[in-house]
Amino acid sequence: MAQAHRTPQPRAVPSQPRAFKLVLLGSGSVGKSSLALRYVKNDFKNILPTVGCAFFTKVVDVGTASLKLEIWDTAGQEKYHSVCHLYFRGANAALLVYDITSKDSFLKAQQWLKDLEKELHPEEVLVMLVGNKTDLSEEREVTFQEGKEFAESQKLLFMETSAKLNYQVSEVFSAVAQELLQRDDREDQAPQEDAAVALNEGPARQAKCCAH
Amino acid sequence: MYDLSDILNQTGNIKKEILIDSINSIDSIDLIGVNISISVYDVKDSNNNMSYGLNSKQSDKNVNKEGTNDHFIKNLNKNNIFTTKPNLKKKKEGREEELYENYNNLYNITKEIPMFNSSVVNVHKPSCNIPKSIENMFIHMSLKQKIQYFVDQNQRVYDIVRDQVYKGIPDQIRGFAWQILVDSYAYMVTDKQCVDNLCNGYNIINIGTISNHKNSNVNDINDIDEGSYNDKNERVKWYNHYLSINNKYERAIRKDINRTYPNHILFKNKYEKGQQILFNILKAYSNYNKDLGYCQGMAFIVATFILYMNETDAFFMLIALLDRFKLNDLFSYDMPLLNEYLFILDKLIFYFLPEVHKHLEKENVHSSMYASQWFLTLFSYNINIFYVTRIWDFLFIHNTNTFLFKIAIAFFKLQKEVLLKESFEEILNRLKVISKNVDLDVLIKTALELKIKKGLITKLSSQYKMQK
Repeated sequence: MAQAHRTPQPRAVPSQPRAFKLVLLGSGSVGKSSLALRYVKNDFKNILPTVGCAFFTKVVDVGTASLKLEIWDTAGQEKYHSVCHLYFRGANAALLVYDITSKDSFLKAQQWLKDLEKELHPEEVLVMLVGNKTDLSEEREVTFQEGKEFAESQKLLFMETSAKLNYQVSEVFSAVAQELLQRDDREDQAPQEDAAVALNEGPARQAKCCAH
Repeated sequence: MYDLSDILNQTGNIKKEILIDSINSIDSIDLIGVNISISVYDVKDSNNNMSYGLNSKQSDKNVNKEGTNDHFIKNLNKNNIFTTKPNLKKKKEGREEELYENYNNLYNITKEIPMFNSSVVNVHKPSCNIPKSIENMFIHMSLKQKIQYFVDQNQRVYDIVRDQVYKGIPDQIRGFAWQILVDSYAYMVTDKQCVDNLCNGYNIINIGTISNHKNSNVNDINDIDEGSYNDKNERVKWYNHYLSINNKYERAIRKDINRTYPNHILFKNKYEKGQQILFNILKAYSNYNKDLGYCQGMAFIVATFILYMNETDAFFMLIALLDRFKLNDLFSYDMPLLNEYLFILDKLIFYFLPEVHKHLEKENVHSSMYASQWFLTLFSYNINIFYVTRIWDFLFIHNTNTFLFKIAIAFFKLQKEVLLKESFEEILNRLKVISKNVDLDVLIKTALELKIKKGLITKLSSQYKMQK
């Protein structure tokens, strides 16, 4: 069976920034690739639908530390679900992206969350819900409140963005990066026992980015 | 059976240079009804003195028809479109300039392209008494002769093009040649079940669809003439039928339409023709094959077809392609064939380029990370269009998926030294756009030289299934 299992080594050589794997998930044409493109290259254009997956990296500075984000951009169409499973193995973080002008895409994002939880332990992966396309707010079908409430109920981070207008895009990734580093540091201090897992549960997953 | 004018109109996107290049390289081509026969002069490449071309004798299938000894090609020339200037040789000089000037009016150019040998194509306007279709020829043939005819013709086309067209099929006839090679014209049969039943063998289709067609009235020339038009109308009719049904895939298709080849002039603008045609074909296909529906990746394949053929033909081409090459499972739910192909590719790299395999493994680069898009779009994603068409030429000529693997392995072979020095991220970037890093001619040549037998692929495929 094909496996795209790649576990980045978070604490490799001290001189190199720690690497984290982040996957972008969500239904078709919600703007996953656009978010990645905006964040990595600060560009917005008409891009090809992602077939299979695409890969980007970016080094992020969080305070004094820096880390390397390996961004895996996946195909949105449902048919690709099984293929995407290959990609999100070993992920440290996932962005569940939906389109605020499409209720359907919001429901799909919830479905993705279930899939993700089946595949990975909630403790292993940091999940952030992202409502994209705020530039089209007059066509909005999912309110900010709805998104926020769902995120809180599932203990996810949450933000709304616009890749087109470059609204809050880098904030999304920085928030994830920051959280990843914090978790990583906590894990460093925590004993490497099973008990450590339980310790990390809960408060750390609070939706602290809903500063809106 | 198929208007030559249609065929040439379909190549409306010919690039100027290619057009000129092809004109220089083709001296005579005759298109024989359902089966194409390409006879191209030796093309001497003056730079390396290499002969790329094809050399085949003109088919002199004489048909004894009512005492006359007509080339049946005459019968085909029903629209008489290549009859403008029979004295082509004389006009050849100075033609290039002329062509550049006339480029805007492509139809006029194609009318004047000296691609049809005047000795073969009848220059007289067919009078209404002259039968208009190839089928007339068959009236005077026994079933055995008909079968032999098709076997011969098919064989000839393969003989000619199989190993020789390094330069690719000339652009003007590429669309037509693809359809012949994939045999999409056989898909006049409309009911899918019916097609499935017919598709048990390659030759059977040719014979089945043509000789069975209208055989009840086979003695009446007028009826048969009508029949040949009906074949075409039938295709259009069924295409329209599938197009008229609404289904759940429409939204998914629409999402991708304006994102497929967004920089190509044909697909650039919303609601313009290219996008609309692309949408129509994908929608019609999702009705034709409800189980499969639509899958991202298909849009790129269809878009490439649209560059070379009309809407209906592209639709049947898609059907034929997925059927003949058994690519259905590449796009069906869970994509089982994709996983199989990725497995096979991985093994092939291991066999042919063990060092590369080792390095990729060390860097944690797996075939699913880069090759999904290669297979799901048959290399038409994120690649220079000239590469796709050349790759497809051979894919269709060889009539086996093996060529896809050959291209992949050839790429690794050519990039081996560089790849071995690169890390995870660099490797993936390199593999993302293969046309950026290797020369097309070299890639094709290397791929053709690879000894990857179909048997090996079959073996690996069963190995995959066993393991599963």
